[in-house]
Amino acid sequence: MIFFRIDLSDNHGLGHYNRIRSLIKYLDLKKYKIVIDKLPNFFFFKGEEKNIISLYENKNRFLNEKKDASLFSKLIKNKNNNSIVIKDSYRLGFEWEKLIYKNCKKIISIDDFVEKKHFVDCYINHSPIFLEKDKEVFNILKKNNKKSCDFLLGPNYGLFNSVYNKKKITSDYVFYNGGSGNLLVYEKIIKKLCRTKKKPFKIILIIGPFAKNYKKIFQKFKKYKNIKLLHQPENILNALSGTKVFISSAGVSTFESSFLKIPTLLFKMNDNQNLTETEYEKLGHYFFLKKKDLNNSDKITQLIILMLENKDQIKKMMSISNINIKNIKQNYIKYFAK
Amino acid sequence: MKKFSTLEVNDKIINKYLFYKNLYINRKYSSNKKIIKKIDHYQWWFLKQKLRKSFFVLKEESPIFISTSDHFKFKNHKLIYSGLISCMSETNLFDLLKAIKIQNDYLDRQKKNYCFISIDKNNKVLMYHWKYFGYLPLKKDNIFYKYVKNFLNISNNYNIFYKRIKA
Repeated sequence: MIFFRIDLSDNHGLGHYNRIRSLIKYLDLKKYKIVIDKLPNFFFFKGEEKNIISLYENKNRFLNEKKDASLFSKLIKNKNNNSIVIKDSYRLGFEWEKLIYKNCKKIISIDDFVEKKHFVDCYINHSPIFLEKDKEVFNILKKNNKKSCDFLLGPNYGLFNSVYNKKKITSDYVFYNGGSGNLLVYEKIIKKLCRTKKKPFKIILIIGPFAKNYKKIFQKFKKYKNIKLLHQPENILNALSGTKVFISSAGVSTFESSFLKIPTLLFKMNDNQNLTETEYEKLGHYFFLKKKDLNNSDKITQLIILMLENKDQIKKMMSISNINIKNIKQNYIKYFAK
Repeated sequence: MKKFSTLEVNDKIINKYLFYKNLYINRKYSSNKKIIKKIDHYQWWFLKQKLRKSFFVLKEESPIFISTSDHFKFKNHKLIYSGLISCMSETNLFDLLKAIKIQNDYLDRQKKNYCFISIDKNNKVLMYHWKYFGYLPLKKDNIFYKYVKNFLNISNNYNIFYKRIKA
């Protein structure tokens, strides 16, 4: 049995969940459990409900790594002694891993930060930073991990969704701010776009499952006939694949739009979105701004229009991105078959 | 002998281009001394960079300068306004003169064009180089003076020079 222990909440967003979902798909796993703090009552998770376990009941909540490890150990001992644990969490680190290590066959960590110390058998980090083959970075990794640790590094181990319907949802622009982000950070820009005298165009707003203000967003945009709201879509790729320009926070969707080669304007919304300019460029993304740039809504609106007008030019720039899903899948199958 | 070569600038260096433009050495002698913001640079890239022909001057395969040439028309005349952007935070006179030479080799191939350059009056290094590359000072009675000065928004702190590339 494979147990995933992940962060999933309005604070942590959907990124960790999306990553392990892609791993489940790559490996075609049937028997697995996803352990989270508490299962939110969203229809987004309905299809996966039977595989999700809430670690904390009633008013109990996460306090520290030690207590979490104790609860989690009990859970995996009850189910199976020979389990593999895959952890994708910013809260759980070295201490948690060391405690769990004794109670499982193998422990794997998915992480975005090279500097964090680990006690795992396998370390996964899909950051394009590893394309540079920088010895200094590898030395830091080696120093922070066990000698016997296996490293699955770089976009060749990319963890993102790549499956979507052939029937695309077409649009000119798609706006997204992650699974829990507030989409209204784009409000002024969207309204200014609608006021431009260009021919009628279609805008899709993707509202993540943890976004708390769906009703407010709905109220604000209901009179706009060219705007379509997608609330908690199971798969954002159906909308992404049919759009001309994607405006998004620089989360996991960075990989998804790179894979689809969709001209994208990225905003760094938080410190976990920690790629450098060169690393985004390695994924084929050349347009990224800071959250505070959103205050300049006039200029952003003009830029978005220019990106639409020059979408073919941007697509050519994105040719650098060579994410090959077949290779990624094979790489994971090969490693897990060992 | 160091090897110098050129390489065409493409869209993929959009962010590096801004990094170079914002180097102090470039802002020091530029009409705009302020740091250029990314959002402004991205807009400029889509609107103006298309009209500009730029190439890197490489020394031992490493970029040392970007040669820029803005092509435009005035009445029936073809005009080029050229400039150099340093890719290094510090440069030396030899590399600079070599880059100017390479740029002028390119400009001299642009037949039937008038080429313009502007030089900061405080730039002591480039005060006299124009003579050696066939430029003349652009005087107020020249038919291009008003147009070039206004169109390119060149302030009074700059001297303008020009040369005619014959057919």
